[in-house]
Amino acid sequence: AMPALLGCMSFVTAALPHNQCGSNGLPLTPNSIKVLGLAQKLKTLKHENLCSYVDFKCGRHERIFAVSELYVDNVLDRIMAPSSLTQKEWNEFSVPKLSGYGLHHMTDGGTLLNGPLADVWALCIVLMELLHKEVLWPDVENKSLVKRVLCLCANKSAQKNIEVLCQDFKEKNLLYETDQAIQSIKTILENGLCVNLSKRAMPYQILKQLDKDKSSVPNPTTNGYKIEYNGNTNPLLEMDSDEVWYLWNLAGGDMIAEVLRSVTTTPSVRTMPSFVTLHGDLYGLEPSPENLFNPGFQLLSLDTVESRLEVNSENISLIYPLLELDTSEEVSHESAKLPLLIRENDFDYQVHRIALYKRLLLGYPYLREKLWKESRIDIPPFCRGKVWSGLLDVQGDIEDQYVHIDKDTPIITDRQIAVDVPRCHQYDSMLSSPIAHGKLKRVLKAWLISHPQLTYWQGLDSLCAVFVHLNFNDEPRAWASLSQFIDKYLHKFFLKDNSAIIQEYLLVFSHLLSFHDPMLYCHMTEIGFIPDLYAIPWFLTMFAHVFPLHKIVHLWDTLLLGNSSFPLCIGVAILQQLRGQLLESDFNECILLFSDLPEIDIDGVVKKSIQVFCQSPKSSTFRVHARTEEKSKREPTSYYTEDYNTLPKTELSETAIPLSELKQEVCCRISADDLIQLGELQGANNSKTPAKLTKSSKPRIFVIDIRSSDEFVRGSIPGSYNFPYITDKPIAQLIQTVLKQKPKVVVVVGNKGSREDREFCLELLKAGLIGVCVLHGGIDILKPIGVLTVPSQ
Amino acid sequence: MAGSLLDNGARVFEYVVTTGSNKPIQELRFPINVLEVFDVKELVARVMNYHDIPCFVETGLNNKLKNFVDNERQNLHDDQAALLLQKIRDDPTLIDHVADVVAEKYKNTWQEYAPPISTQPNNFPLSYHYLIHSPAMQILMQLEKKYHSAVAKLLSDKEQSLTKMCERHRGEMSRACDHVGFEYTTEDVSILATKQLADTDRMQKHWEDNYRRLTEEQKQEYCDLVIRLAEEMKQSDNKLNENGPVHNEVQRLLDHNRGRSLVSTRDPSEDVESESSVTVSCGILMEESFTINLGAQLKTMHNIRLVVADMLYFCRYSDDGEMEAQRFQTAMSLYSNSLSAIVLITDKNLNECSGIEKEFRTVCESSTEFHFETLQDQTTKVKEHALEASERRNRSLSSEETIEYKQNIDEMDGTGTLNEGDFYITKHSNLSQVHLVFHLVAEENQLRTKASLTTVTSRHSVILGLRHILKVASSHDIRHITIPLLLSHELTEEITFQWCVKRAELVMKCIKGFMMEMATWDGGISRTIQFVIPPGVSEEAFDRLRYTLPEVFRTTSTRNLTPAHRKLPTR
Repeated sequence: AMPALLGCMSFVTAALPHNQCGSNGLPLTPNSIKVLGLAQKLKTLKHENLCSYVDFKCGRHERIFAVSELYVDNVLDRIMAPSSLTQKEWNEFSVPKLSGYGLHHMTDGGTLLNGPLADVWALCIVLMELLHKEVLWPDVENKSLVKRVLCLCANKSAQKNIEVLCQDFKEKNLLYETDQAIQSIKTILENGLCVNLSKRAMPYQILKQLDKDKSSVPNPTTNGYKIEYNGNTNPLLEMDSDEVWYLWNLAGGDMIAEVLRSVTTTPSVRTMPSFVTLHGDLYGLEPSPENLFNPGFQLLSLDTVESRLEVNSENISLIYPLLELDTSEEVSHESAKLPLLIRENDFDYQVHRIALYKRLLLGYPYLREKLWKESRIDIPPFCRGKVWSGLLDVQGDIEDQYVHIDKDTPIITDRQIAVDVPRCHQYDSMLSSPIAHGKLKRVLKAWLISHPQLTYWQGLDSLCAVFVHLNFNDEPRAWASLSQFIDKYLHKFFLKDNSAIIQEYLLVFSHLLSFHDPMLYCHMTEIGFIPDLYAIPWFLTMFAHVFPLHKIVHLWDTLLLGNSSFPLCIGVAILQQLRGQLLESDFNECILLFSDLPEIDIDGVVKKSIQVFCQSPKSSTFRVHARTEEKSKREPTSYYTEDYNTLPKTELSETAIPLSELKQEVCCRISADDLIQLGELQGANNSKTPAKLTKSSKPRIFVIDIRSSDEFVRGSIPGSYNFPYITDKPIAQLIQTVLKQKPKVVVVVGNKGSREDREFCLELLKAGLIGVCVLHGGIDILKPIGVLTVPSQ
Repeated sequence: MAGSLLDNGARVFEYVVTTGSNKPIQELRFPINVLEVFDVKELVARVMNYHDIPCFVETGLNNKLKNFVDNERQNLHDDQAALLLQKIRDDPTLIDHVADVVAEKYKNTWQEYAPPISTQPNNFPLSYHYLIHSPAMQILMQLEKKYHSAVAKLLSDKEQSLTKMCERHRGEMSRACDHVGFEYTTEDVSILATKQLADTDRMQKHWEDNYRRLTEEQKQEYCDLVIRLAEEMKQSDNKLNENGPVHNEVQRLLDHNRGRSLVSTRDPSEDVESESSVTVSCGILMEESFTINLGAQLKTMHNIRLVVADMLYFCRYSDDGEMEAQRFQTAMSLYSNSLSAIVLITDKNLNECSGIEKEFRTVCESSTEFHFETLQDQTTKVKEHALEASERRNRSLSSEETIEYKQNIDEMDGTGTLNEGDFYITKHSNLSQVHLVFHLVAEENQLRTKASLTTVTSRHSVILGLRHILKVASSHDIRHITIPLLLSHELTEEITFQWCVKRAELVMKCIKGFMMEMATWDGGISRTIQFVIPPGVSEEAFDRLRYTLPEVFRTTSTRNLTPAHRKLPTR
């Protein structure tokens, strides 16, 4: 059911001493951040008698904003006061809702906030007051009030307390009436007003007692909150309050401003201390009245959201998308073509996307294909955590698996983790809270324990942080997603000895760069700025160590759709974005530039990397150490999503060559099967390969055969160009010929044994020719299958 | 009794694993801390795994352990509370104390129980903030200028009459001395001297009284006008009501032909001259701006300026055109959350100020402070706080560290309640570019010696003081802060080129570190840090620092977003 309203309670956490720092030498975590971390768990509490919490924000000056549902008519305040009960009009349909109950938990039992806490005792007093329709001890100032309460300590029994307290009401004998309701109140009081805590009943115990004589308590109906039904459909009714809150923000709501408007703030200049000692003790701080605790709620109206969600014939298919109805015309939103950042902030568009994804997720895995397809457009931030785990094929009873992993027993890596975690993405206030540190540690350890053959390398923390941040209240999902992610993209990277894997990865990366940007490749090779010097943290963390979280999620939205070679394309895209600077820089400047990467336009990188990906022959990123089998038997959706490394191998496929040999290569290798497919040597195929512009057009591929003309005449690839190469032979003429054809891919073919092709390729690269690759295995590999022809003169 | 108060939650849990038959399969017994159990299910999983317990036991074990932990926790808390209650029962006099503490806590933390705060002190700032962001801004500034002129006139009159008196005294005295032994005895001379001293004192006091009266009257009048003008404007739809009574009143004041004596009747241009002698010498002599990005993944952009100027250049108030624009800016942001501050190095003596502090006082007193207490009153309060702090320090050190502390006391002179690294903050509304001044206590003379290159490290008290200054800046919305890069306001012969570079490097590195630390506090807010080098530094040294700064702050590409604007030294 929809809450009538959203409400926000805000408070300022207790100040920390200025002069201390943590045991690890890092600055102390501000109390507001601690609260923010603790509070997250409250979002998971759902109950018909609770006003759910939907969000927490941390504002300036240690102010916490806790947003929750608010039911105007029937709310009970956890902070006890008679007014919280009396002002409401109760009827038999009302479902009492408790609010403000999270204060105790989020302030760590009141230690982080100098504020109030209510308990069973307080409830009893309020009940008494209500019963007598009179406030107990009115106009008594706090000090004497506390004294009077403490004087009750002498009384051993609740009975005695009740007697004493009743003396102070005008009507003294009300409790002795035999009315059933009064009797049950009396039961509560007798259990709750014991001074001795071990005898004072807990709320659940009182409830249990009352259950025995249920008749005395009106049974609350289960479905209380009724919205007036005026014939129209109201989408709000079907939404969880966190979705409503998300939309509230998109609809232009500014909660912090709205709350602060009602708080008169003391200007900063007047809150300044007047004297500060060397030890950081502050003197002369003037109290700011707005920092005092005020249990009130600021109402956040849902009117705007409701009016913007009004259903009409135009938007009904967007708000209620039908997935199984195979309409030839795709229902899509007009905003779909706008830049991602605008789309993510577009109210109507997000309403549609969230509605669509909610259905896709409910239908998962049956609707997995569709989920993939939609993800290629974009992923709504609201559902990202679940969508990612869907894209990563997380499955099984992960909660149970996670519980059964021992995350407590100390292991050797603990020390390193303890050092890294408090330094990992700490600009994010949620991740800098102690709760988040705990979660990170646990998920990291769970991953280590569940992958005993792998080990902890610095950087794993950054990877993990992305998933923990996204699944803050769902550690098992964070762990499972992380496991799947590493298995796919970082296969074997976390082996104790990972040098061969990383070496290979970087070489392939460097070859891919030479394929797409020979000029940059040549420059960087010349000055000796090799990928080993900068790219290891990129790939080891899949860029999670390089970029802030809000950029990582956009990058990974696309990354997750690509195969295991896609990260290489992102690397190329980043280099190309910095191209101008790199080409002008010498070795030292490059080192300085990359030690602290300048601002990167992540949208540009994403677009460029897709382009790079699409233009690379899939065998060009072949790696021996890549994952060779795919767990799920999902049909790849296109030529691109299939992972060359996982395809079944034939004699035409690319095969492993020793690392030492790979090091000597200057450009990527293309496999025979890829060449056949690209060049349509065995008939046209309809898939859109890198060498084709549209499905029907002819591939733009240029094959240079560098064998001697004798060999060439005896049999060669149809349409290939013979350029018998000997060292120092000028190639300017050849380049001209090639450029005229505007090929996407230039394949150099030589003999298997002699490798003059390397030298030749380097010449081509130096000349700036884009798209150069070598046929893996030389011409010999094509001989048995009969695609070679004798060129007509 | 005290021992059991420290119950740390350690318990032993026992469980017997059985199948259908009566014979137990296994008896479990393990230690458990009920206060530290994170997740019962996980603990059970661990235990089952370790002891190879069949899975059908899991649910039972889960429930049993959960109940056990819950109960034990509850009991533990109950017992602790019971002990506290027992204390009260045993000694009912405690009730008073507890009641005091609780009542105090409620008073200090709950809005509902806090003593009512009058909105009065907020009234003027709110009105002012409202007006300064409205069309009435012009009027406000004109009014301030008028008041400023009146004060300037008073100060120059004071100067004149004191000079005159001084001359007269000198004449009298020299005549008397010449005639000692004839008309005058030595006794007469000393009587004359005493008389003259008394005259001077009287005259001083007379002018001081006049000054105080004038500024107090101005302040009162100004505050009153501002509040009423704001009300008038709010009543007329936030527009300036040209015919409103308050507006007319202000106009009358501004019209200097008919103005009251509170406002100067002289031509304003005269004032500029009378003051220009002070201000003309120092503007910004050389400067360079940098934009830097700090942070590992999320970068925050900051502006850093390297400036050669007199520190007080940022305080002096004058009518110069560019200055006036600055003044506007400063006035408009006074009650905003983008404040400006400078750091002055000051000595330990709060009673008698010397050096830059003295000059600073002159600057402050050259116009009326409308918004805050006078500098003198502010420092008086600081003195009280400093005393309080030193007393507290005294108490806390009574047991340990006494010896060390005694040494400190010996070093202190009579007034020395301040220690190196302490700082006090004064608030100002009448300075040209700053709202707040951090007075950082240091032995400036020692900071300038050659030896200080080795003694002043990142752990030096002054540097620690800077750290706390940045911390206060981060928690109180100070966005522009000006720091003496060499920790000194003037150059001496001892200060060499090498010295400058080394000191500057140290300060820059430390500030960089503190800025990174600040980011964890305020989530990364863009700031302007201005490093000031005293005038007289060689161009060569400045050039060197220009290259040092980007190295320290590791700026590469984004250097010099603002075009380098350099003025060559005029001398």
